[in-house]
Amino acid sequence: MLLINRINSFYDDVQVLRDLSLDVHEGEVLCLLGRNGAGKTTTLKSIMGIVPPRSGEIMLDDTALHLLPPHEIAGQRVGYVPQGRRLFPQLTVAENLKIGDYARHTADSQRERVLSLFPVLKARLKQKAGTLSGGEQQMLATGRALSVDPVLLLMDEPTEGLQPSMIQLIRDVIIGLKKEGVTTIVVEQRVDAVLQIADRVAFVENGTVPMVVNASELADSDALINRYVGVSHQPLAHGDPPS
Amino acid sequence: MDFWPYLLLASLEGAVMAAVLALTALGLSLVFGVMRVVNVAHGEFFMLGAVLAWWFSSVSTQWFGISPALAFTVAFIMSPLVTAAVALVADRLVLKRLNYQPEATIVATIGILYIIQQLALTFYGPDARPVVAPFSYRVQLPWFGYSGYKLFVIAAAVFLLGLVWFLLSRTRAGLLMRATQQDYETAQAFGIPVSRVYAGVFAFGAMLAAMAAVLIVPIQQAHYLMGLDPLLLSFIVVIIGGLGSLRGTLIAALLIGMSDGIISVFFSPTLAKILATTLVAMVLVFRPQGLFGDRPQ
Ligand SMILES: Nc1ncnc2c1ncn2[C@@H]1O[C@H](COP(=O)(O)OP(=O)(O)OP(=O)(O)O)[C@@H](O)[C@H]1O
Ligand SMILES: [Mg+2]
Repeated sequence: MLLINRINSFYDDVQVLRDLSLDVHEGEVLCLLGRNGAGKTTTLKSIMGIVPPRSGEIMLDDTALHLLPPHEIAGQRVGYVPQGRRLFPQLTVAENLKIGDYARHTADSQRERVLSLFPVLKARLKQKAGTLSGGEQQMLATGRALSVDPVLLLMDEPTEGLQPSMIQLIRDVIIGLKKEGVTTIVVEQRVDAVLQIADRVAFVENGTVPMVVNASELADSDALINRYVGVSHQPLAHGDPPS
Repeated sequence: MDFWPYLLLASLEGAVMAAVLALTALGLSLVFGVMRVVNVAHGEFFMLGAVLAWWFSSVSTQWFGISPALAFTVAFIMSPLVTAAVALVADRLVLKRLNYQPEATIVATIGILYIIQQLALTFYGPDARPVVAPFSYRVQLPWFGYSGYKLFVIAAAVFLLGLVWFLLSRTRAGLLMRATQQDYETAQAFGIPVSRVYAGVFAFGAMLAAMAAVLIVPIQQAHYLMGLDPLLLSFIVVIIGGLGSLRGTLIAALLIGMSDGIISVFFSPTLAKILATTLVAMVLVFRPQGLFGDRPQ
């Protein structure tokens, strides 16, 4: 579905991704796991064209994303939830969602779908995004990405700084999208979260992906986790009820 | 004249000044806000607007023999459009190639300033030339008569500012501009053609300066060096209002324009400029984000 073939990406002269390759299967949830600074965010930015790779290829089915100008990538129905959310803080909730609609160049809006997933936003359509609570902001960031009606969804630490019920909500959304056939790449720091939602896990180390495993293999292997994530991970979260 | 009528006269002069300044400064503020480009050539777009207004209105009266009102209308439409086209060329040839880096574009727009100025000197010459006002109606107040055209300038500027407000807050183009202003990287990731937005904003900013110039040129003659004052005043307004804050820009334009007008009438234009620059210095020291700007995060 998405095939990343030996990309090399740089910030100015500093190379961050080194011959990174990754094969993402249709309809799966793939987790990127790795230490801080390993290059997870940069990988997503390279797919989005924000940090265009200097060499290598990124193929979305038959479309060469690396050859498109950055602003045409979303139009290929690639939705992006950036790390730290990156909402347009001075725009209202409704306007943020409208920006998501813009990429597809069609009049039909995903707004109803987004609002039915996140009914909380309905009451806040006229509120400035910057004044939302952290949880609401994450819902909006996710909703904005869904506005491009994605076939491929990139989520960078979508549960960062959220309370358990919110985390569960975001996970439910990811699982629901999977049922609709959406392919998702999600960067996650919390191993317990990875186990709950991922089909496969790609470890990112030093700007490359040395290994991809099935999520089930991760469950039994503390050695893998220690090698690629370091320090003993948080214990599995049990019984956070969905909100 | 008594004090109060005199103050009224001074206020009217100030309002004309404020109206024109608000339009000009809004252009500078938009370009800085959206593109982070400090456009030192902004005053030259003002000058270009004025010079082209003279050209269009004199050509259309001399060659086609149309009335001053119609000639002015031609100038008011054509001069901002041509100025916008020049800005568009400058954007594509220069700013875009510099990747809109803040420092590089300052130097580059200084270059553009001299190029436009020298072209104006070459083709328009060193003379100051008037544009005939579209009408010469005088409004007779109980204490003095006042130029109807000046009142028209105030009204036209207010109308245009309203139009800009509408464009920015109610249209799709405005939404794209605001999104780009707040986070161009994310805007691009959501399909907004940032480079086209930049080109449009730069041309639009120049167009606002040119419109202001066309309005003023029946009052103040067109001259190839006339860009300096609006540039300085616009910078003053943008700094006082807060970089990137359009509301701040408008309020500051009103403040500076009115006080400049009033102080110029009662005392001297030089004192007005001294006070304005002192105010800027105070703002920079005590409230560097401007009176209405957001605190830098
Ligand atoms: N804008 C930038 N300019 C220069 N270097 C950068 C920039 N962004 C990231 N880097 C560097 O690139 C490397 C990879 O960063 P990246 O953000 O991809 O890591 P990450 O895996 O997402 O980490 P984290 O888990 O902390 O989010 C880091 O060494 C970082 O310092
Ligand atoms: Mg990251």
